[in-house]
Amino acid sequence: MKRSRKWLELYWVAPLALIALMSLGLLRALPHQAPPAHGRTVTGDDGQSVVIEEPFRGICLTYGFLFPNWYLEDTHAPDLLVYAGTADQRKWFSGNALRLAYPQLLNKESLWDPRVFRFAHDGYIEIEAMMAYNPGVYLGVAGDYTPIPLMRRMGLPTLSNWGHAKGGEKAGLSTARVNAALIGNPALGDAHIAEYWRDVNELKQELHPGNLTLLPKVLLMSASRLNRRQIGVVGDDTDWSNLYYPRAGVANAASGHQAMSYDAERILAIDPETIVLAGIATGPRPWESPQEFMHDPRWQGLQAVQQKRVYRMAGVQDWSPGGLMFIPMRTRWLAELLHPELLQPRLRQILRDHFRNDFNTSLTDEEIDKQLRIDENAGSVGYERFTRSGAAARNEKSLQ
Amino acid sequence: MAEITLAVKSVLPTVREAAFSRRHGWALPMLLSVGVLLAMLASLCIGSYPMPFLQAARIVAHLAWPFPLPANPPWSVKEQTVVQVVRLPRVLLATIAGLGLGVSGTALQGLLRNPLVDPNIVGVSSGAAFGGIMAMLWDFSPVGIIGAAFCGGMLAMMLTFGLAKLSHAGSDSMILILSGVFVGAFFLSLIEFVKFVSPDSKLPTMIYWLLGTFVGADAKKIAMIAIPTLIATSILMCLRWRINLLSLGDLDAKTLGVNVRGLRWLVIALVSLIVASQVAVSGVVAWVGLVVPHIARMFVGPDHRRLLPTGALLGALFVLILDDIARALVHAEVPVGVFTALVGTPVVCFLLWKSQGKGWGRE
Repeated sequence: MKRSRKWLELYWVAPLALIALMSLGLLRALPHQAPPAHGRTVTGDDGQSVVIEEPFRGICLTYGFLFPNWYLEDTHAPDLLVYAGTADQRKWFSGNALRLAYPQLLNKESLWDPRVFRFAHDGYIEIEAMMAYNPGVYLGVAGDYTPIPLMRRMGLPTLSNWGHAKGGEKAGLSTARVNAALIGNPALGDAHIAEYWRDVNELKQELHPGNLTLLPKVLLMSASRLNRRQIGVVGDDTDWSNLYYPRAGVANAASGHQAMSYDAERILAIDPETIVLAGIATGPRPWESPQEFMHDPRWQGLQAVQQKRVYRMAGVQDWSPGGLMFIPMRTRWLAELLHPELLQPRLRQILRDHFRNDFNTSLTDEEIDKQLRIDENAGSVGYERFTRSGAAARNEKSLQ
Repeated sequence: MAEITLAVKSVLPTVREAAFSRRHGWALPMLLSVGVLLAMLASLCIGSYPMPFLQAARIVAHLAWPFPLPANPPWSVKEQTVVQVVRLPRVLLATIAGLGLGVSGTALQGLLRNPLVDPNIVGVSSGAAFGGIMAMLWDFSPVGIIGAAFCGGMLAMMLTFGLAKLSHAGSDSMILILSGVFVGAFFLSLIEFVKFVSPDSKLPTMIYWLLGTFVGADAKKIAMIAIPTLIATSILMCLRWRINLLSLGDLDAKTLGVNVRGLRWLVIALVSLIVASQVAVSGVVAWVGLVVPHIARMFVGPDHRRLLPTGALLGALFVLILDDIARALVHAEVPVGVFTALVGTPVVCFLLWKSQGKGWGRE
């Protein structure tokens, strides 16, 4: 064989070498993004700061269904949003109470882009689609399974929020501060936090949960209408609901338990005095309403069913669980439900006041009824206190 | 038992074919190399962020060039980050996985002299998938997952050969395939069991991984797949003359001085390494190892000197194009393993029809 032909037989080396060289190219240092000439520094909940260019080009929310709500609750600045979420998030927002305050958001097409969020086994962010927005800052949660680390590596202005390491209330408070600083109004964060503590303390002074000797056992759960195996239980110590229980003077019946496919027999063994149903009865994954739950043969042995103490959680779709405005409100709802003799029925008025003071929005009675799930809870014991007539009658009686 | 034979005529080319192959056999793989390169550059232009072809080519050329990047490059920082961080890892992952699967299927079909063989049929993929899924269940590190997947693949292959040997028909490829089917089925049932006992939080990731996907490609994953695949492929390329001899049959190969047993195990180990690293990084991408060797054989015939490089490059091209379709066509990303099966099945049916069944059954 000629020498040249021998060399020709090594033709397969070329593509492999090329691939190897390209792979090595990935190890090169990423290009450095020049910091903005005029900017202000904001620190996220993970302690990492970002310099935000002035004039501010707005905010891109990167991940999570509740983000638009938390952001709006804290900032009241819908105009600064350049991207709010996907088409699914838009749909979710359309059922949320804050749509009443900011209906213009739903109609702004550019805010809701389905290309940004793609679905594989789980949702993930299409970084390139996000980059096309070119906002002043990207807002998200720092963590291995979020796009934030990658975006930071790419040199994009990225701020972590909603991910405070301690979770729960600490996350809510820190989020309010970061959001307020982000829009250049740190005082607003302090005002919201003060308002939050005022609401929490008002309930505490009215209820005195520390003096209660008998704490009713409450189970927060959901049961699918379509799949009998799908029984969700929310009792984990890190869940938002744990903020409600001690302040509402109730006990968590499933402390430490959290699952989406819970054993029905274990629910029967827990046998809580009151059941609060999460989830809504419509949509692609509908959950049992209180009426359906109370007629489901599986649950007939439960004392909560026998005594008709099964309720759909108030604001189940309307109120974000970790929002500073809604934590005290949901706590109050639970406290009024379980300790009706100790508390005046003031929830309707509190809800109305908050929307008027915070968002300059007057809620109608129908809108309040929807948020308190009056229709769904009509067959459950004691829920009439949350109705228009029930609240008025109770208040009149107490005045007499 | 009559043996399933590889091709219509013989495994070795005729004199005329051999002469043609000697003179021009390198041309097609060379053309394919250029095709793969162009496809990679074209794939770099697919995505939400606008990226002209020439710009992508320029960035990749500078990244691959082993010298410092220019101080004032003619591209923006964003364009470089899109290529370097988002698109190039995925394109490389798809290319390397396809290349590995193509070369593995071609080598295994030649080694076992059977056109129905691919890494799935002899149980390597199932074994590797089982290893990987166990590692996921026990929260192993990414390196641990690849190690477990590799061990699983090797274990499956050893069990397949051990079972064939127990039946005193270690060299009968039909028995070997049957053993592979049994071992594969066993590992599949183990996978199902692991899925059953896995916590809800891990299950979606496991299932999606098992379907085969290149989502989340990064430099680490590229290192995991590129190092074993490129090394094992290079060794297989150096062995392609010997695989030619092995495909004559054990007796003939022995007569020609080949250490049949050693060579067989070496090829199997290399194939297992490639498939295990591919499965560990991107899950089970089925059908590539079966379909691609058939297409390659249509182009260059049964001579492994040409067939192996052609199979490798066609595999790379096949998977790369399917991955482009998977990420560009639909909003919800379809796992590429689903696409390879959807496309692979009709292709194999077409080849079966085209060849009128010749070379697929007993002669």
